[in-house]
Amino acid sequence: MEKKTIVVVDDFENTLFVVEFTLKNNGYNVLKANNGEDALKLFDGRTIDLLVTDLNMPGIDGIELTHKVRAIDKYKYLPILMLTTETDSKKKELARDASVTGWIQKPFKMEKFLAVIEKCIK
Amino acid sequence: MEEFKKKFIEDAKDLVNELETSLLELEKSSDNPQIIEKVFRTMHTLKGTAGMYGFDNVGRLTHALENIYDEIRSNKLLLDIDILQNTFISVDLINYLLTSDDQLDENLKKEFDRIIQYADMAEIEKRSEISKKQESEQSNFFYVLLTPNTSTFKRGVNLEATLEEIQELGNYQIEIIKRNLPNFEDFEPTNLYLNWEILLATENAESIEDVFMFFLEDEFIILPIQPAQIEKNKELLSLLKNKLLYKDEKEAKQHLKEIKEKAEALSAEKNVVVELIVEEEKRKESIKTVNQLLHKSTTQDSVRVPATQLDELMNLVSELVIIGSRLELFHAEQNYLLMDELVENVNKISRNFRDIVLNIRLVPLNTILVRLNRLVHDLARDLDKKIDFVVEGADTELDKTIINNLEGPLMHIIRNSIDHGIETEKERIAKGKSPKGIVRFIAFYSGTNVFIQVQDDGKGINPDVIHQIAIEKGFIDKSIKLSRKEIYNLITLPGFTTAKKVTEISGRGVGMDVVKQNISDLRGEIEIDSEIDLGTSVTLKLPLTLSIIDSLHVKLSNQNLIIPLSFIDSCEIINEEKKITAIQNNYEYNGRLIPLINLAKVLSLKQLSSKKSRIIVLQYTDKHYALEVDQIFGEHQAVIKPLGEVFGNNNLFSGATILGDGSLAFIIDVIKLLKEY
Repeated sequence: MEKKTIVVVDDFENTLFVVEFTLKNNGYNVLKANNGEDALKLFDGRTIDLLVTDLNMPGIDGIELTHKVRAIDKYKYLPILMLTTETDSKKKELARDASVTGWIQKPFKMEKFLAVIEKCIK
Repeated sequence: MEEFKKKFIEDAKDLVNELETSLLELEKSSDNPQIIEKVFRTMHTLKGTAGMYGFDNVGRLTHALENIYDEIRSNKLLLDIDILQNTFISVDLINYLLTSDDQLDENLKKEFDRIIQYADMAEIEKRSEISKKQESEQSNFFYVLLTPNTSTFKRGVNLEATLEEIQELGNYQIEIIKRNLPNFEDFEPTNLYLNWEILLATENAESIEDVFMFFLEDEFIILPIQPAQIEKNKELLSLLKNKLLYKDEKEAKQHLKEIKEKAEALSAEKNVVVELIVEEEKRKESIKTVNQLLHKSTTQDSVRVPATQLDELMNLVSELVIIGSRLELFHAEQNYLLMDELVENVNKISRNFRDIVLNIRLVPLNTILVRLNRLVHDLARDLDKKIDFVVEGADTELDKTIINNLEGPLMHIIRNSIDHGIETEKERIAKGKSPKGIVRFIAFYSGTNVFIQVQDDGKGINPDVIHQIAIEKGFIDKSIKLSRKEIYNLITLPGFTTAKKVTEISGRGVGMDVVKQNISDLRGEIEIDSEIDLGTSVTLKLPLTLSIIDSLHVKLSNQNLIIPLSFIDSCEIINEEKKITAIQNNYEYNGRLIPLINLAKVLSLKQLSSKKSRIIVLQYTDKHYALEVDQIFGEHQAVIKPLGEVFGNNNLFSGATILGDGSLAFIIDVIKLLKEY
């Protein structure tokens, strides 16, 4: 089977590194970006199976990124996971209204994280 | 009843077979919960049905084991070698009981009692646990209302996958609720307006929430309920009012009633399972388990047919093929124009028919591999060697008759490999080999044959030793020089053994010759090759099927002969100049000289003087041979009929067949002919 491609966006280098490492080790193809602007450049029409993005980022934040990605026809129904430290369901509602598929609460356990990824991608 | 019993025994044997496979897997990874679960369930099924057919001992045994594996699967007991060993013994006992109509002899009875006792020890601590389990299981019933936000699809949520995950949790019932559909004018096609009502009986309540992880708290509600109490559940009622917008109390109550009925039906299903696990002595068991058993065999979309019926079918097809060729002959003589198409069609159909029937008779090697696997396991234990049994091509299929006759020879070959081939752990380490020996079982198709190879990475066989022993025992003369291949073939001579000591397992000198005999009876061949310290391989070459072969019909001095097509490379007409080649008894083929076999002479027939002689070029292994005959008629589907005992010591025919005109033709055993020559 073809490797699935996941775009990971986080302004915190450390998270980015760990997430990339884990995903690659589990057979995914990973594209990463430090901020929303760079991330958007990745959505150039190539096949992408999942976007994992941080919520709070300088510049374009997770929610805005979601809106922008959804506006591109090809990625209209792309699964998008939001990494967030918020536990507040208000924020989750906000994310849902921004048409985010799901959310992963930081800090997360890797097994759990992978399970969520798998659920999104299948 | 007798018939059901027969069916039970058959099914039970299948189950035991599966059980053995699982146990062997468990031996490798004793903590695999799926396999433990499988073992448990197999025991459980066996227990449930055995009693009904009077196999009380099987019932008692499986019951005892079921308890042990129940403990193991709920992590109350650790699966150790001791338990595994006892399970293996039990499997043998069950197998024995199934064939002996539940009777045990003195010795086995002792073993039987020992196992029952062994299991009881583990059981004493169990009873309190059971009641605990029962309690916790009662609250494992849930009502889930999923009311996803209309934007769900736009968020890229895979709803289908979510609903599929529910199936993995346990028994369930899902209903789509369309109550909240908007008016047509307001309908937005990409929006989601449906709601789902899910009844779920599951033991892992924690994971329900995980299923709905992509939904917010206001989109789903999980309510633990008691099926009996649904109508009185106020929480549920208000839920229906709020979420499903029931304004009318009556309508809402009606809906509750429906839910209740479904829930009760669902929990009844579940209770049977729980009951079976918990209930102990009672075996007034339940058509339900029989149904499960029957259900299981039908879901594979296959039908079980007695082998005798298949044989009968095969005979009929054989007759049909013969009649077909008679028809063809008749047609050729009479030449009714209109019959052309008919005859052709009949023959085409009978050929297809033949192929299908032959296919039906094909059975995968899997069926005997279980026992071979077990053999390796037992031998490795008895001889204290560490062995990996690697199987490739287990799904290779062969005719049922061949498979049935193959088990003995294969067992023998594997036994040899393990006993003589694979060294002890110490020896292996000293030689720098990995401490674990490997016995490889490889099966594959090649043309119309199936090859089965048993390789080991043991100490190999020294050809010089074989040669020496063969001379000592007077099998061959000292002066004869033999090729490697020929030397290894000496092993298959009757009474040949290299073992200095007769062990319990092998080395008595009866064996490889019997193996060879068995294999040739199946029209197969055996070849042995070995490399000192690298290992030994035994290769069996077997025909795909036994009873009908594609062949060439030829004639030599008025005698009809049949040559299997699989050996024929080409047919040629020769003129005089080509016939007389430089060296006599050779034929020029593709610019090379190949041996010309004077078949007439070999068969003591007079060769009719014909100006045009026909040559058939045979190919065997990588060599070509030429065969001279008088006439070639064409392809023929030969139904092989065995020759009677009178022909017992003939070496050249593998059987006879009846031709279209009713006359008899002998089928030439090409391999023997070439060897003889």
